[in-house]
Amino acid sequence: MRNKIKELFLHANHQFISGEDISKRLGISRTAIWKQIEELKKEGYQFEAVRRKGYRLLNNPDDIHPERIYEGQATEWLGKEIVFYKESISTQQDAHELAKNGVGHGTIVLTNQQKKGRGRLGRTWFSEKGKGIWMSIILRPNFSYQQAPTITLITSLVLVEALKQVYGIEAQIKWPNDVYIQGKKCAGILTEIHGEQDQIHYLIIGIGINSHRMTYPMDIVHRAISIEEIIQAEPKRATLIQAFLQQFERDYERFEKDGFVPFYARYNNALYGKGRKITVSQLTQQYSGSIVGIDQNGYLLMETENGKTIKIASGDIAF
Amino acid sequence: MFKMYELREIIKLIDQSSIHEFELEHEGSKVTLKKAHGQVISTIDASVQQLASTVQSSVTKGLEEEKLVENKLASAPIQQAEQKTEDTNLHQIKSPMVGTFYHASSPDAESYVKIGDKVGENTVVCIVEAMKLFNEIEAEVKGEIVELLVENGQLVEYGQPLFLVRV
Repeated sequence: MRNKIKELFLHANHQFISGEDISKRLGISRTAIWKQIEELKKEGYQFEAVRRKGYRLLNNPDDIHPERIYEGQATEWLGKEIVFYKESISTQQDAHELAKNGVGHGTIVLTNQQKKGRGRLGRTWFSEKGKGIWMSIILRPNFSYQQAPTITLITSLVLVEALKQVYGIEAQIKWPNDVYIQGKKCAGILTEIHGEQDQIHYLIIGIGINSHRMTYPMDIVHRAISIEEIIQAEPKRATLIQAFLQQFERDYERFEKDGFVPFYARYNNALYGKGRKITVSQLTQQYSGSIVGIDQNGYLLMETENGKTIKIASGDIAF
Repeated sequence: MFKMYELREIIKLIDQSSIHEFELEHEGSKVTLKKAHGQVISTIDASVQQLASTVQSSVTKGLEEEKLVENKLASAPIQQAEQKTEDTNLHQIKSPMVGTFYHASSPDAESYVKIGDKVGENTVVCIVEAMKLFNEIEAEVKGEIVELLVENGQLVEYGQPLFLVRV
């Protein structure tokens, strides 16, 4: 019921809605309405109550409940079903459960607090209650395993473009898919795939975005940055999520049809550290050289000291 | 019969040497190694045939200095090996994509499987990763792991055998 009342107010564009109107539309008593509004206040919503006119929503709090994301969302299949948890161990873990239980293509898991966010290879993703966007997208792809890895590059590209569109931020991508602003990491992406030898059952893209200024742990304090620190204002997470989802849906459809090639020039434009010297560490070996760009398969091209260009499919990059 | 590590050692030595052809007979098993165009091609007789695919993967590893090179030369022997493994109830778990092979979920964690482990269809045996896309590979057959064909951290090709499972 609270969701429905919230929807009414979000939709009313800060105009008054009479108690009678709400009562008729939702079939609840005036007392019940009052109780629900008190609950909404706890989520940060502020109301003006005027006798005979009703209630009016005053603000637009930084709320990421599904009804807030649904409101005004123009996607056709992505995020039409959002599974929201006030807190979660890891949205990636939740998404695996849901995917195994058969939820549909485009379902999203979203949380306001992540207890043990997952990074690559057992690493954790630092999360502070209410100060980030942590979500996992469940997809049931029509493409092959060979095509699949580049979806991680596209996800980071979409995020960079959404940051530009919503906040005017010039973000870049550290290959393969970390989103960097002013040389610091603002968002990370972890993608997991599940299937049989020749058929993908589902793909889960986990995204962690530092939206608000956080008390970062010592080991990442100099390497992490949030949107709030850049725009010097409180970002509305729902706005960024909506912009991201809209663009992702469009680009994903294109990717399914045409593969990575239509994206690679856009990606190269957003690539962080072009021309700079790097070391690529893999489990058993290291390469050094300078970044040239990526090729049409999404591999990182690196020029070694003897002038040879080599392709990198995986590894940790250090500048 | 030759031990796997012995074969690996021999191939490595031949690969680094200027020897073009090499034959070794020992207790009824015979190995013939030939280099063509500077690369190693191996033929191995019947008593060690079930190991052929393993040998092949070591050979390809030796060949490949530059990553992501398509290995057309190797594909024919791999197919041969496939047919042979069918005969001997050995199933190959193959990589569905190009990427890095990890035997555990994190550097500190224990290997998903080791030689002698019994696996079921849904047992996770390893991870193959490319561009931060992590693929947990499942055995897809019931059986026992009899051979690990690649090493932790190694780059694997599309279709490259990773494990042999006795079904």
